[in-house]
Amino acid sequence: MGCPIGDDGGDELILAYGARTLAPQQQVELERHLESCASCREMAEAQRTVWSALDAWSPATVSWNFDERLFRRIENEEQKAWWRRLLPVSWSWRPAVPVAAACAALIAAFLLKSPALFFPETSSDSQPKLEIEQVEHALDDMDMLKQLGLESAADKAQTMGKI
Amino acid sequence: MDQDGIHTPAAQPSWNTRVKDNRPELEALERDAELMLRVRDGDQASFGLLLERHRGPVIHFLYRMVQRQAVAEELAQEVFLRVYKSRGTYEPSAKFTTWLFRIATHLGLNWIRDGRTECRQASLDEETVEGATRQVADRTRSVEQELVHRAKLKEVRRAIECLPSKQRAAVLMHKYDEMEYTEIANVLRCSESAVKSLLFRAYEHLRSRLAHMA
Amino acid sequence: MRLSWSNVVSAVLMVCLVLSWARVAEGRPGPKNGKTPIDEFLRMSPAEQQQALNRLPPEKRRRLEERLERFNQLPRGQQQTLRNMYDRLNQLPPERQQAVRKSLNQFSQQPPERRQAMRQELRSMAPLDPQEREGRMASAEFRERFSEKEQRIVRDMSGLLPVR
Repeated sequence: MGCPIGDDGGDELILAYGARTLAPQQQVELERHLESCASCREMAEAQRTVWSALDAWSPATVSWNFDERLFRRIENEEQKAWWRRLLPVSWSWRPAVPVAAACAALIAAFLLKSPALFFPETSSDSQPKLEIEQVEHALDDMDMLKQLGLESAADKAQTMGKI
Repeated sequence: MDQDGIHTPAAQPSWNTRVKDNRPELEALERDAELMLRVRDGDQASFGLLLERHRGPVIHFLYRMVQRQAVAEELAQEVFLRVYKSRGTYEPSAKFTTWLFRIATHLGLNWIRDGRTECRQASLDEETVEGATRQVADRTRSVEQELVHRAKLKEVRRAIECLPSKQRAAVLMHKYDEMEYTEIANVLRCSESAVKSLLFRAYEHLRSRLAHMA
Repeated sequence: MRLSWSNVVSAVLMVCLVLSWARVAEGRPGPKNGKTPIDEFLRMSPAEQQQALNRLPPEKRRRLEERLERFNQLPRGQQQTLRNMYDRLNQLPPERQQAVRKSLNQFSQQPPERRQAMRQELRSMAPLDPQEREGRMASAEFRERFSEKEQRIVRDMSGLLPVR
């Protein structure tokens, strides 16, 4: 806050002042300080404004049947089969079954199309070795792509002088 | 200065204490724990009494957190349902209200996390329609004053909604439930200094948004 | 959202569904796991790298090592941008790849101010969706600003921009 009380719980004091919860003695002392400290005065006034503004927000009335609905829920919970109470979460098969069936069909179709994904050949002889020429060609492509200059401004700043 | 014009040096100010008369609160705390122990022992009527006492504050807290009355009531039901379900293992190791607000805050934060979009205009518009049927307009205000009041309210709600969720929870507990830093820290399961930090940042944000309402 | 087992099961199965579709919808196999040959090379052990480089004449090897070093020194963001464009290039059918590489070559041969103009045009198109990009390239303003050759170059390059 840039003033003597700023480093010594001044924010806390201003909050309490805004909330009108300071003891009378503290309030007097703070108000004396506020007379001479513009930054604290500004903050205190703003805090009081915030407090009053928040006061204006009164919540809506609670539904007339809140308690009734709650007790009904409690009753339903109590009446659940003992084995369902053992499970920490509720379980329903219904949404999962058709989705599972659809996914199984899709995965089966996918497997027929591209078995290699799930059954990769482990023999190292069948894996194409990386040819150094591929690396060269990739670098050629990268060099050409770099000239388009589509990197972000931040990246550009970092690369000045690196190329 | 005293009435004789003699200046008496002020005692060293204690900047960090808030003076309140805590006696009625202490009695209420003991009562809450007592009631909950009775619920543990099977006394449903005591649960009703606890509900009567804490229904409002919990719903209002959740309403200000999520800014939807229906959702707030739904979450509040979940809070009390959990309290009821936990009755068998209840021990008065912490304040009842701390426990209650811990559950409420947890549910509120989860709801915000799962469905949050920053500073949603849509939610405020929805609530204006929903809220209008619930909130009775103050008949002492003119139509123009009522419009100004509603515009002010909208700004306040928007400012609160723009706070990060933990700051929001801390401010609401501090402002509307008049909780001390220690209790807020217990609810949020963090240190008191972390609560102060949350509140100072939150109020700083609110001052920047609402100070023009003086 | 309250998590239930059915939600979890459904979510996992939906993810499988999406992955299956993504894989089936691919026109052709692109770089393995989105990695370029450069990345594959850099992930090889030093011994394997040396073995690969030994196949090159000394001068070529030295130049290649310098180029690799320069690529590796680029900021991560730029590397990723280049990788993404490289991926998109290699996803194209072979004849399109050839055409785009030809346009890239032609781009490098244009005078600096024309290259700059085309770069600016591509940058302004980057945030647009494909339809908007088409609209822009069909506009009178675009046709007036660029020659037919330049229009073709920009059109080919626009295929390497991220799809919004």
